[in-house]
Amino acid sequence: MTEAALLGLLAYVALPWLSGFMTVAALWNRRFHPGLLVKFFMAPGIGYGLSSVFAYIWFSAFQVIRTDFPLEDVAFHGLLIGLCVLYLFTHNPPTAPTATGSFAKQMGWAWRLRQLLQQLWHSQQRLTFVLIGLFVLQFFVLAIASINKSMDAPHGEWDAWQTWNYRARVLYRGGNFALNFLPYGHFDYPMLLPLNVIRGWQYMGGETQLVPILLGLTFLFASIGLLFSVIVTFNGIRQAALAGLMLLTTSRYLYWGAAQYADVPMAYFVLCVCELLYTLGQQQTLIDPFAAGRALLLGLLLGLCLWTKNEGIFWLLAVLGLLLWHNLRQGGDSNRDLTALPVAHVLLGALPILTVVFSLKMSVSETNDVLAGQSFWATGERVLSLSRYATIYYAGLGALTGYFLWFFAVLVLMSQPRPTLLPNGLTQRHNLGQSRLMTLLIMVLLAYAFTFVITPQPLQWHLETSLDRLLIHLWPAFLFTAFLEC
Amino acid sequence: MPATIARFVTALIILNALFNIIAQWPALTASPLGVRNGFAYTPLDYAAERTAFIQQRVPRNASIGFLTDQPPGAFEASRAFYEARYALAPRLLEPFTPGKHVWVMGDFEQEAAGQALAQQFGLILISPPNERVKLYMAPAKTAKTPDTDKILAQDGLAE
Repeated sequence: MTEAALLGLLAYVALPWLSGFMTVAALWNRRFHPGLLVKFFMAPGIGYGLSSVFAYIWFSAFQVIRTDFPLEDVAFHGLLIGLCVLYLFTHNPPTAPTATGSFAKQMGWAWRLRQLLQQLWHSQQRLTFVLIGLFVLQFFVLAIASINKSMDAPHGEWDAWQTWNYRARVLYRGGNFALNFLPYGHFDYPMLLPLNVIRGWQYMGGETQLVPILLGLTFLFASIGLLFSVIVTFNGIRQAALAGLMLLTTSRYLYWGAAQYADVPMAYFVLCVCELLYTLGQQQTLIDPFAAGRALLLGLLLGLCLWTKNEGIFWLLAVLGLLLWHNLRQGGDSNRDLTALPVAHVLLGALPILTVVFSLKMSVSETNDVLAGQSFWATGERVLSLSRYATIYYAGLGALTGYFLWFFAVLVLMSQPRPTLLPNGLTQRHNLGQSRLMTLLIMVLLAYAFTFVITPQPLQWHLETSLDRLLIHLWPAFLFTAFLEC
Repeated sequence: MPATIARFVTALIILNALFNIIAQWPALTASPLGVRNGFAYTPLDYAAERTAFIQQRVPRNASIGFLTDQPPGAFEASRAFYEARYALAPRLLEPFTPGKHVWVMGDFEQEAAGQALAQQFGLILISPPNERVKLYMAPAKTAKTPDTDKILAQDGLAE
């Protein structure tokens, strides 16, 4: 690899990471910040997401894959970082009300570090150290295994090369971004991954499989790091190590991550969404003047879910539905205006990406294969066929017992009453946030199941090829939700 | 009782993690730091090699028809099609439609079957014979583009 390519690779990775970090820092007010590690692991998703949105707008405007794009991309990230820095300098955290201040203090670094040390010292020290040691060792072992798996299949597995990398190749090699000229090849699918692959090739000055491999592994490792760091934040290091070990030993998750499938990035964004939704839930018991920024961030992440995979639409609708329902329940509450605030901001945050997705769908002549196969009678017949429900149920059970055995262990753990490790004041908020997240996961699970009910594809084939990947979207978020309480 | 269950699940997680680490260990000691050197050679690289002459010959903005002697829907044919499509990008590889495609890629398991199909559609062989993957041109009568006659003349194949 030449020095220029190496420098390009560095810029390709570091710039979005930095701008993503600054975006999270600006939108997630410092007084309520979730911790450096959480921001660090949320950064690549947001950075790569915004980069691809910018690339889409830029290429669409010129109708070509511009060769000067890396310079323009650097300028875009520079501008984003500059704006965030300016915002952070001009918007000092105001003096907070007592309850807010108390919560902010609890979420601060000093408090968290003290909690961590206390846990390590007073709890069963040996067990905690064993869990942390195992987590670190397991992480490195599986990181190397995932890298090796990626080297074995540098183009990715079937869907990765056939859908995501193929589109990147066609656009990059052809140089043409008039998408309507492409007759087929799933060009209606969201563009977060292909556009980031193209960005990487442009930064490195040529086509190399290193870029999609790096992209896939970034999302894989970032999702593991994010799960660990958010649970450390909310429920202590031992629970974080346990949840992390469960994710690290879910072989299917690591397999699809190293295979460059879009499902692991999707799971990563879903985890970010759940974390944001959970912290927004905390405002129900505390007046939080900084919810607007987090709601914008939540909207942005929901948009990025949809920009990663079409299934993102379920997450967007489910979260909006959940927030609206919650607001309606608060109808007579004097805090109604405050609780209604996030929905508008969530929509506002999602709007730029929704516009881009809409533009993509309008510019491609190809229609989605699941939607194209629907008609009143055919769909009605499938909905009324009870055997389809039974097939889906047994396939789901098979996937859970085959790939997600920890699911049952987590259910057992969740059914146990637990003394909280956190100060009493946080317990009530946790319950609220957890029940909201569980509702969200169940809603999306049902939506996924319904997609199988109405699919025009042969049901058994469709289940075999996509069920475990869809469950992966929910898996880190489920572990996060469960370990808030376990 | 609840504490016992929690301990049991924790023990399971620890044992499973240990088992995973031990199971992965031999593979990790195969090379320094456990990371393999270089990318593996995959069927996609093989497809790129087999279609290299098509990439040199066919313009980047062309559509290519795909013709095979395999039965429709056969897994091998489908795989060969998608691998070739990936290798030939940005050229668009599509199932062959007579009258639509000037360039035709043939992937034939049986030489005789391939010849019969080419004859049936009146295709003119451009690539060297005796290769499994072949490049044809449809005659100008069925699909005429400004390039067709010129390219056929270059190869001494013009009518």
